[in-house]
Amino acid sequence: MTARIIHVSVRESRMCVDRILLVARCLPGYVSAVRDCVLLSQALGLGGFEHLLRHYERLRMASLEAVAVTDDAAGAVIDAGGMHAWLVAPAVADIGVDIARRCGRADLRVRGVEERRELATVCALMPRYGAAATYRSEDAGGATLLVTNASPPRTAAQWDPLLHHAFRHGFAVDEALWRSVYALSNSALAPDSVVSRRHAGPVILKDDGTLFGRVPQDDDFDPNMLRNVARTPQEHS
Amino acid sequence: MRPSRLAVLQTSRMSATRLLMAKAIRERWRIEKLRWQIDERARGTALYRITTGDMPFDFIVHSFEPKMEGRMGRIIGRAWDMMAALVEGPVCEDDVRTTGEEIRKLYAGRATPGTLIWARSNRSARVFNHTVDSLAAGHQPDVPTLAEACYLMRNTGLDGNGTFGTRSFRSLEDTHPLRRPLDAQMLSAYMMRVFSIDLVNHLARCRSDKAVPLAPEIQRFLGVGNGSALGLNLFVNNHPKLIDAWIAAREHAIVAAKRLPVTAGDPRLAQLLALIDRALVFRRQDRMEYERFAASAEVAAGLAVVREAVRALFESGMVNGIRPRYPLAALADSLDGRVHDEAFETLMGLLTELVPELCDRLAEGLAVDEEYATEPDMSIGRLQDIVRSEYAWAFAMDLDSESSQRYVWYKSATAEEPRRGPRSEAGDVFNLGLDLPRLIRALDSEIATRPAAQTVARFLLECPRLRFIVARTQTLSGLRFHSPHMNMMGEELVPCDITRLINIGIHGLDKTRDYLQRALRGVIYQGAPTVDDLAAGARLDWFHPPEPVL
Repeated sequence: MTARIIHVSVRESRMCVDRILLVARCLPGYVSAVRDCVLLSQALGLGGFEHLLRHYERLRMASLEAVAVTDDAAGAVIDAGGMHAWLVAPAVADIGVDIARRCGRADLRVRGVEERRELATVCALMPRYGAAATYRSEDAGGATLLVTNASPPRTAAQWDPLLHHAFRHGFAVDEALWRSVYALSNSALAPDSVVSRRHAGPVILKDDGTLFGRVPQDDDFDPNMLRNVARTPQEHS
Repeated sequence: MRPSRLAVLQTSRMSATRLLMAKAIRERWRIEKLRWQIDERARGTALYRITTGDMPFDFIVHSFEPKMEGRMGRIIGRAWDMMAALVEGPVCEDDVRTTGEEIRKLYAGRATPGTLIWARSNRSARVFNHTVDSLAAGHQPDVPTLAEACYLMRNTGLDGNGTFGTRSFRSLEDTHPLRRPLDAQMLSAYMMRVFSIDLVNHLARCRSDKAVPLAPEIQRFLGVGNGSALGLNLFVNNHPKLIDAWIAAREHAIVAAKRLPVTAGDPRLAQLLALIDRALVFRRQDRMEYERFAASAEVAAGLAVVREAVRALFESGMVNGIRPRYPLAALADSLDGRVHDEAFETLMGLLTELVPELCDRLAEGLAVDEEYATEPDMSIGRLQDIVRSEYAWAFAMDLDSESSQRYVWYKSATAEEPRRGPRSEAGDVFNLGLDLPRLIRALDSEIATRPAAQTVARFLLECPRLRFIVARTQTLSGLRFHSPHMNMMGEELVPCDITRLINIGIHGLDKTRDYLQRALRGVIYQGAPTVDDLAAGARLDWFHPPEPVL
């Protein structure tokens, strides 16, 4: 049977990837940076969503302490300490741009990185900074990134051409794969309960079965929606 | 940018409903009912076409017989009276059918190509039934009964901008008629109103040969209802550039209006006076009950003072006996603090009606991206300067007491409903609220322990947990209105203050009353032109309608 391809929007993709990264226990303040790498990976035809689905547990992180940066005349040697490329890519991009701004270019040699080829996402991040980069893998298992300065982006298309394309056309994804991504992302949502349902809405159902708060006079509602939590999927019945 | 101050901003020419209606009126948009296959129990399909001149849009409606089971005015509800899609037209038969199949799946559904919005709504049963009963009996519904809700159907969801596979608004072409933020949502809301009127007329006709159609005066008086809740607080978190752009544009329009060189007898002052008169009557006739917010009678009292001041200016060209260089600016200064804030902000909103072309131009600049990027070579000393100068408010807050960190924001597995509850009750959930003041303070503390010359790139290597707040701070630096000064985790936050900013100021709703300080009900498009009015050429000052007298 032929796989059905659907086009997933940037918004949906961001939402689901963010949630999966939270589930993976990536640092909350670092999630959006890693998410951008996942989306760029998908746009570049690298691991993307499929890789995320299989290996999301490897994206757990508490810090970048394992990463060691040694500056040298050409740029820097970065030992990623065995971390996944998506986790170090934002930091590698920052360091490359920082050095290139001061020195005109930055020759970064990255070692000890898992899923090395995903470092190509660093090149895709560069237009945002007004920089450019080339990626070359090395026989020894590392990779080299050459970062140079470029014109600052003036339009959304220049800021991130891949993202701009995705906003217009979405990401083409096998529907079954996307359903799996979506299902996994839902594990970041809180299980529903009668208590939880008190945390929103115009009225609260108290333990004694009475309502707290004035019921909107223009509203008819089924009080069982507050007494019991439906187990059925959300769908118009 | 205090939430309580943002909550009193009133509708203006920069509100989304006003901007869209102005465009529809100016361009004489035509709305046709292409199909009506709905039975006497309200089951079936309808199809509308909106002809904008540049592009047609189709509004596909799937209508259902109301039922109580699963009915609720929250997104966790499972029963809706109408589900619809706004699609770039013309649609084909397959689009109508597929939309009907997919839209019922909601979160598991996929919109057809060219879909901008998925919408759903419920009836206000009492007002809806009263209207059908009256029309079927051959007379118009009772205005006081209608005025209790001011609508027949209430919006319970407008999803777009990429959700469920709808088109991303950032992908809309420069010539797209709905390219401005919120235009597609507001057109869908208008179409809900159109459908609700057609439905009461249809059901009344089905019931009786003697049925009369709903009078145009009553059609105009009725808007479409709206329920909003905690999700708009998260929207504000996620759209700081839009919030900044909108508030800045509104301020721009107000300042421009205040600088108009008006003199005694100026027609612009006559226009302002007429608008204030309408707002005054609208408030006096308002029958809604408000909890946190001012009663309309109190606002009306303030508007009466405003009216007198404007009348004096119109007659004499003077403010408090002085002929100022900028009379409207002097007038505003003289009223600020003298009348209720909502009355004062009503005046500010009405002033923007004096500069409509400017508002339309400013609206074209509201479409902004919400992307952040770091500036890796910035020194953290410079970053600290930004933090301390632009976020001084965050350092003045209590962030240490138990009550200041009592709450957590999260979404439920059912319908992804945004919720805010005590941490002790919510359990182990992922916090989705932006804890801006604590993030800012954490950033400041970490910077303080390092050399000021260190670059952001090296800083973030040591503190990756702060990457988001660094990128946000650097990107938004220099913008004045991007973030409310609030501690979302604290007990003192009143969520509906922020919801009200969006509902009234930005969306343009009236009669927004709060429930438990977290849910808001309001009315969209009360007074707006009917379909026939649009085609015939309607007035731009359609808002604040008086109760009809038949």
